[in-house]
Amino acid sequence: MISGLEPATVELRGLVKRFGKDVFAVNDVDLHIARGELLTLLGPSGCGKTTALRLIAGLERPTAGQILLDDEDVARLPAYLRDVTMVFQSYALFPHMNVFENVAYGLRVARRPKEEIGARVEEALAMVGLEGLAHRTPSQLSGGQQQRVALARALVIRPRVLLFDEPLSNLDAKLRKRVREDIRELQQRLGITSVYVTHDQEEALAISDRVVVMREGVIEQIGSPHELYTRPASRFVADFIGSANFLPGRYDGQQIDLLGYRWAHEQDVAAGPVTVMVRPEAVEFARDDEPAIDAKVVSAAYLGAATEYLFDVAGTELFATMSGGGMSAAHKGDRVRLRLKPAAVSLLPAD
Amino acid sequence: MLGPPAARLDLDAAPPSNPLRTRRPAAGLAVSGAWLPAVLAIVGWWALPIGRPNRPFLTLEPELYAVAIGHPLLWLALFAAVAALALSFLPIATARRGDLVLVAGVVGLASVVAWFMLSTIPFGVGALLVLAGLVMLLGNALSESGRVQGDAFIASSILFVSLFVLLFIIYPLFTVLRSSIYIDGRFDFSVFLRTMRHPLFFMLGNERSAVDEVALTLRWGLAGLVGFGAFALWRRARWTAILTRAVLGGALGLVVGVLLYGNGALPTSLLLVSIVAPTATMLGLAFALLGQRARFGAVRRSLDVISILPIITPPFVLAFAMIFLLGRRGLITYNLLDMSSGWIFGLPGVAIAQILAFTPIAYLLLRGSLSSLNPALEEAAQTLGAGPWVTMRTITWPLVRPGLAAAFLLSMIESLADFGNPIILGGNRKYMATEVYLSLTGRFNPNEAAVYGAVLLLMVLGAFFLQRWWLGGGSFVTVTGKPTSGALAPIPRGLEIGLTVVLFVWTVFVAALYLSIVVGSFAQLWGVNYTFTLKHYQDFFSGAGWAVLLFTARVAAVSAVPAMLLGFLVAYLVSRQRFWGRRFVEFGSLLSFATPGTVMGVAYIFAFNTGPVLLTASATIIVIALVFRNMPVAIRAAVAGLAQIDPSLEEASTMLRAKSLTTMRRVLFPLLINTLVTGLIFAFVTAMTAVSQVIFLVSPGNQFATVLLLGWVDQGQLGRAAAMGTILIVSLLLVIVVVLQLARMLGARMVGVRT
Amino acid sequence: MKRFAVLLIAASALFLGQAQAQRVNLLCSPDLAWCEALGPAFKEATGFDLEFQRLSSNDGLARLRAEAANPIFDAWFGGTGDPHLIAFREGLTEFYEPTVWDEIIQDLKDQVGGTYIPLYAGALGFVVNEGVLDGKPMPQSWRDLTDPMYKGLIAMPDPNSSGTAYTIIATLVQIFGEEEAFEILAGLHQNIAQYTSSGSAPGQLAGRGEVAIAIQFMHDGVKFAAQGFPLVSYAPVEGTGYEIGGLSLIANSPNRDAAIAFIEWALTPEAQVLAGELGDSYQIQSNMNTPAHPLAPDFAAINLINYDFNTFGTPEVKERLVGRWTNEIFPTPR
Repeated sequence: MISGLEPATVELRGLVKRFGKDVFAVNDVDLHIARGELLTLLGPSGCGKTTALRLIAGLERPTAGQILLDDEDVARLPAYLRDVTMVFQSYALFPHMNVFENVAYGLRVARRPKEEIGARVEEALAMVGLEGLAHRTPSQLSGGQQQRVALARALVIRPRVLLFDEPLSNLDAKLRKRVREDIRELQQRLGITSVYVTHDQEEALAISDRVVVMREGVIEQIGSPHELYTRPASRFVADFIGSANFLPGRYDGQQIDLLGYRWAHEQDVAAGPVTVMVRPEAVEFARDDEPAIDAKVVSAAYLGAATEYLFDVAGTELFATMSGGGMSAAHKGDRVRLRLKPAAVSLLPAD
Repeated sequence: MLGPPAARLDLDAAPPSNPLRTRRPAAGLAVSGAWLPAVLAIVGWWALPIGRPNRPFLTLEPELYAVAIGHPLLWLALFAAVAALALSFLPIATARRGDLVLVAGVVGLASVVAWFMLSTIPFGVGALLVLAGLVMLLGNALSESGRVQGDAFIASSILFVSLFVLLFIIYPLFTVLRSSIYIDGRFDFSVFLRTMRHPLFFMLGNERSAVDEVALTLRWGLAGLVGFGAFALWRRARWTAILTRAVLGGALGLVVGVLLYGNGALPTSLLLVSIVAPTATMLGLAFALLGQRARFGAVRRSLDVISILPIITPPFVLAFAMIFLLGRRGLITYNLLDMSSGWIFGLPGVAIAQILAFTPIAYLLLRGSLSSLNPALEEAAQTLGAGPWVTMRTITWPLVRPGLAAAFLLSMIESLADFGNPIILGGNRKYMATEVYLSLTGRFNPNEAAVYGAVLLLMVLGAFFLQRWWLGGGSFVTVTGKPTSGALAPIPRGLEIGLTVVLFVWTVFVAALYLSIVVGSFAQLWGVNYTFTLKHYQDFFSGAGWAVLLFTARVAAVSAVPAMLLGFLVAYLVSRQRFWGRRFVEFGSLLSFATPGTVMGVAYIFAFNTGPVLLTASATIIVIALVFRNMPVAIRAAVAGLAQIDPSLEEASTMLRAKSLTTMRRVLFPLLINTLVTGLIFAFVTAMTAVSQVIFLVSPGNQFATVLLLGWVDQGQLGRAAAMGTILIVSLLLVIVVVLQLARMLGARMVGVRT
Repeated sequence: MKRFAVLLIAASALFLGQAQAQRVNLLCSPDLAWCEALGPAFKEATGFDLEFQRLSSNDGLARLRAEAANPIFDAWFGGTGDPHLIAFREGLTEFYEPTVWDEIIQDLKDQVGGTYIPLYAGALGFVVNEGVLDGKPMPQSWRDLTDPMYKGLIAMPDPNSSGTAYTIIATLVQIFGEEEAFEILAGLHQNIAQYTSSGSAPGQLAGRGEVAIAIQFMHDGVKFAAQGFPLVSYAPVEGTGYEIGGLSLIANSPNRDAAIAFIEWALTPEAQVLAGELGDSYQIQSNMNTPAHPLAPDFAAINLINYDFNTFGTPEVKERLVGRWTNEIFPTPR
């Protein structure tokens, strides 16, 4: 019953953050985040995603540009006036306060009446399933519980935008998966506009409405997880999200020609030489009667649910993951014929 | 699952208006926070010309009032404040309004400052209000306009801190430097040159001595040249290396020669430093090794006591006790060893007294740097087959080297700045720190005092920058180590036995010294007649002593709180905020830390005796001197404390819409309570035992215990001096033990260490 | 921020409340005990409050100079006359003729003229701890002090920091002429164990047995002896110099009326007897009606030289003599 949430839209216009003389952590970023959307900033460390998040939070001051919440520029407003709040990587729970006091902190700072604080803290704790733990100190909680306290503490003040700074990186792998589902579920339930920073592409794909891939302070590509995976705009994105093979080919507007193997493909790419991105799962063994690419098995590793192959295709390496294992297993040194699933192939401008 | 599904969520209900967001719909502030400071400035303006020729902060003076009110600059200031007030309520975008208020604030502040510079009328409480109001107004404007990261409190704090550093550290020292070459309104190097050539300052070629010092010094230089050159040759270095070594050796030889044969304050102080600093550092290292790794608990506990002693010991007292133990009629030298010699007066006595005083300081520093060593490194060395000696030489020693450099530097600074020991035990030699005092008070020559002060200041700063250059950059205040845990390599047994013996002798000697102070306080006539008497205590309590002691305690307490708060604030700003002028604030605190007390005292007299900031002859100037003297120590403590706190805690607080002051109060203070109380206590205690920085600043009704002590020692009232010494030592010890214990308990409760 | 501002207003209000009553701020240069004795008696006699700051006469002059633009002291009580004279010449003090001017000893008035008011007189002498002499004879004359048998047994103040030391040099110059005086000083230098920074410290060193002979004012020796130190004080046979303690009104003093009341009071016999009775100070007091303290050195029995304060009190002469001493005597190795 987190009532009174009024999620905002967020817009970044020409946002720049420069450290020192010439280190551009964020370089001319434009971005629109819709009301109720969960948008993830994804990228390797140092790509500027955390800086961008901290700029929205008001923890850093932009060198140039605007940050609009519901069409109001808040770029020069101090953090405490922005109605934005953040969940930290380290949770940042106050060690000298118990769970109740931690969650109540924002309300106490705002000098809400005592009864209101009690009711709202209880409500928030219930929402994250931590009823009854109000009087524990943070050190007495598990990592997952601490994470939920942090979330409750952020939500209880009814922010218009919720920011997550790699909130799962301190959790172990199993817990991470569950908590991220919980976060997504709660976010959708509350419909709160959220910006989520992570370097884990799987996490980003699983949780987001849209993902922004950043690199060296600029946006490489914005899109839904599906778009990013199937139609990466650059080698960087293709490589960062999942894994990919890059092979030289030609495109004539209707068909791709890859080493003589041709198939129909529709994509808005100029005709001529192109780089063909082939996802590992796009590779299959071809039947004898269909057109195919000739290849030699360089190595094969059986992983149970799938088998990973490394093929040599006319001197170029091709990495493939084939599920179903046993069917037509090939061995090192075998000469094989391969075909590609068109859906998992995409074109990039030639190198 | 986080929570059972939507049952608890009532999203369908129409969202009621959010009571938290009272300031919607416009982003930002409806009213600028600058309105309150503007009011403050306006209120202050009406009382602005308060001030009296000889007393700041006081009473209305009609003539001055008339002078001030008529001046256009002050009208401009009022206009600016009113404009800022009006702007505060203007319904425009926060940042834009911030810019406008900023302009008003700058105009107001500039005109007030200009008026005071022009009129040189000492400012009073009204001006203080105006200035504080305008600075806070600027802080608000800087923050709201987005020109400074952080809220109004942070922005104002940055301004205030920079202003304080400028006014109370940089400006006084500048006046000292200026007074050494700028006399009666023009540049005049005569005093400077005369002082430089004066036998009291430095003389090498003494025509009256049988020996030729210059030739001897040159011989040393030659010996260094040949010796180093030959050594390099033997090591088969390249010829350029041989040349550099030889030149360096020659220079070293010359320095040694100058120190050995030179006369005057400069070579004496340098010689003293070159004896005291290495000795204190090495002894400190020895004790630190013992304290950390000794096999006997008793050894470690005795070190705990020893490390506190110099802090709580008033100046002069120990030097005096030394005379009674080691003098011509000393208990040890005369009664025990049957010697009769006044060797204690002069370099040996001062050196011993300084080593006694500064070793514990080096010990504390090195203890910290030893405990931040990662024991895994030593363990690794041992698993690779290194014995204790090899481990110590190859691992421990190189790793403590930065700590050693810091301890060395600190002992050096302390030795150069030491006033109490040379003035009692100095003998016929001259010392830089005391010459500052004597040239001002004994030879009535303020410019000469300024020359000594400037040279001393440059020496200390030179040492500082040499060290930083050697150890390579790094910020002065943000260097900290985190203690790590693990099994430490034991000290080699032979070494431990040797060190323990040294420590034992040390402990017995120090105990004898302190005991003799107590005995002296109960003896009819210290050194002559040891009949028991309470007379000195009666004199102490009935005469000026008790009242002065209480006054001193009050001043010390009053100065300790701002010293600690300011130290904390500076530490917070420097380690948590990025702002223009950060290096300046750091440099300022370094200066006030490194400047010898007598130099700072002279500087305050020069700077605050006339002009707008008239402070002499008030308790305020003593308080301010002590605040800025003790602030750097508080900074270091707070920086170390802050380093243990994850900055995201503060950011989390900010994200929960707490302003920085709230964050400090609710998050940082509780977490740092232990550090802060410790800082407070040490600021109090060092203020109680301060002498060199206050000796010029005391005035009728504003007496300081240590200065009174010097008076008594000077007048031969040794019994009373011993009584005061005893009372001070015992009460300060009590304060430290009790308060630190309380702080530990309080800290434990606040942080909720319950496992 | 808001609270901070409120706090600031409150704090400034505290400063405002700090009004003060009329009182004398006294720069007091003699023995601390004497200074301490003044306040209560003065309050009883006149009703004025008195706060004092004990500073040696040199320190006192330095302070007056430093604070010339804004004097905080009202009167300067005691301390050797030279700094008083310098202060007068520099306009830091003004001459005030007290109503009891006629009762002041004529010789003292003649010496200082209308510059400062004589407060007391004290003669230089030897202060000796016989026990430390180990059977050597007690020195009787200035020349005796140069005898090598006293090597390491004599202490005197440092001319570079003490007015007493300068009085010693000036006395020797007046008795023997400058060249001979510096010969004596050179011989003396060979025997000196320590030059102390303060004028009264040598007697303490002697009292505690660090040295045998102290050269300083006899009344200080008497004081140390009264405290129980085994010391005797006497004057050398060739004659000896003396100091005139001064009393001055500070120019532009903040509490002038109270300061004048204090000066009038301080010159009365009732006030002057406090020196010996409570103040551990045994100088001859300047009011001829003040009874001499039994311990005070008897001036009639001392061969006092006709000390030329006008010549030797000038900074130029002083600077020259001290400079000569510093350059010629001080660096000579011992």
